[in-house]
Amino acid sequence: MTIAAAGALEIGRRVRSGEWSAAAVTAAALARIEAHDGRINAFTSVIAERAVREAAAVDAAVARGEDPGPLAGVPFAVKNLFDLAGEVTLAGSASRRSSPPARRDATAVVRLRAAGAIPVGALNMDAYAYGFTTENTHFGPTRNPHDRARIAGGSSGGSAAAVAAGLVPISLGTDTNGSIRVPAALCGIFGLKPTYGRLSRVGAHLFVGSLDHIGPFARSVADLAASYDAIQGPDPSDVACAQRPIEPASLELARGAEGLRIAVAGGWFAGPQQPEVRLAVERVATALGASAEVDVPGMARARAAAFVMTGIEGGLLHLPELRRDAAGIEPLIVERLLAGALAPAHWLWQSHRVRRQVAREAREVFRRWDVLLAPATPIPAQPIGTEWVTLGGERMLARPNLGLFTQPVSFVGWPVAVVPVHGIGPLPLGVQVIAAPWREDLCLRVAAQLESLGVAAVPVAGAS
Amino acid sequence: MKAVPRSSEQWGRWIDETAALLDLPLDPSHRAGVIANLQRLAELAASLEDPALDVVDESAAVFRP
Repeated sequence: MTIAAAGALEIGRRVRSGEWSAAAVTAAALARIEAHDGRINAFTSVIAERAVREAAAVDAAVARGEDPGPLAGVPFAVKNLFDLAGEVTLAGSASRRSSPPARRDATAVVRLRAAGAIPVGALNMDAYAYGFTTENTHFGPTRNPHDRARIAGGSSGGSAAAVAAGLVPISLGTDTNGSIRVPAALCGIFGLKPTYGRLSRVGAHLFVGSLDHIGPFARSVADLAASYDAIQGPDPSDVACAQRPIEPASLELARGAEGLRIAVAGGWFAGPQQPEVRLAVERVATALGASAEVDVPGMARARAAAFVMTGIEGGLLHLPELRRDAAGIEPLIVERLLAGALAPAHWLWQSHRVRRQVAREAREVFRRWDVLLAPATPIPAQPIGTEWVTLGGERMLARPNLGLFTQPVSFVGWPVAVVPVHGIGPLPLGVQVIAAPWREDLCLRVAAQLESLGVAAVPVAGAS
Repeated sequence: MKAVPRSSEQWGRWIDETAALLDLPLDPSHRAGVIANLQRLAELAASLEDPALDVVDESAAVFRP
């Protein structure tokens, strides 16, 4: 096993045992980033000095006989909207370059470090997390490691591409309408969007506070679950963060899908999509013995309301900047932000009411089913710059419709793991594994089952 | 309540007046794009008006002093 090929838990095990040093693992990660990131543009900054310093501290702890934690010496990187102490938090925006550096790490970073992991840098994203493609005008597009002419997905595109290319074993992203699930699918890796309110967002630059989630990316389900477990826990500083105890999911993975009632989500989720997307869902469903199809009510209203809520809350959040320097804002989003800032308040109010209604009615589906399967995106990764796609004979905008199947699910706040499916076409695809609120364990158990069956797998994409 | 569709001219007037009231400078090159985006939001918002919502769906945020 080489350091480059090792996953997070494997690195942690070897560093804790003294077989590998955190310094060597960190140096290897920094060398991979230096050698390969220029081809995919996943990183916007690398904090090598800090990483080397923290690796030395982990090695010193091991030498003293202390346990640095399950992720000892594991390099990780974060979407550049997470605060890293001493660094400017860009949130994908060039206009924030002159902002003061963050005074402390985001809570999720603090918790990963407490488990022994080492931050090595910040990752590219759509400006202010408003997008599904990571085509960032000011920082350049992040390129898909499977085909560098294509998008990585977004808005956490750098987070997914860095993991898919083997530059780091785990990373953090955020998901408002699909921004973990879309890039995980298009880059062919595992991603987890937990229940709304499960993980603290303190120190993460919010986009739409009513919808924002944070979550991890990884190349194996065990690494994904370990990362998720490390960042769980209540945080009174985030008003949306639930006061729930840590509920470790890693311990549940071995149970697989045994005893779970699994169905394929039809209705809205059978909408416009390329045939190979449907084949990916069918492959996963067949492997799990899931033959029933169930309609989840309210998903069209959910998507409409999520769209309205996103536009207005996003616009209002950035109103001061729109007043001060609209010309400095990402051209792909500035008109959407302006429209949101000028929209009637009633639309936002009604969207929040609809959210309550849809969530109440839709969760009835979990009386009969434990887990639902749905496509993550209607299309695989498109060439960078693609404006339009044709699906089912209908010409539609490519960028917003990447979130067609993710947006309604985050709107109701349900947990979702994305499992990667390779080999149906030339590019990877993703399937959403959806469970009832607070049942991330079920999403991860099913993902682990699919991984053990070889249906979901993550070959490291050649970034070289 | 059924929302009444508005024309792009009507939204243009809305934008000009509300932007001025909010002290929000609007570059003329963005005006058509803002109108188009606002019309899209209006269509989606209109789709949320029916059916009527129940009192249990009121969204008042919980204030914790």
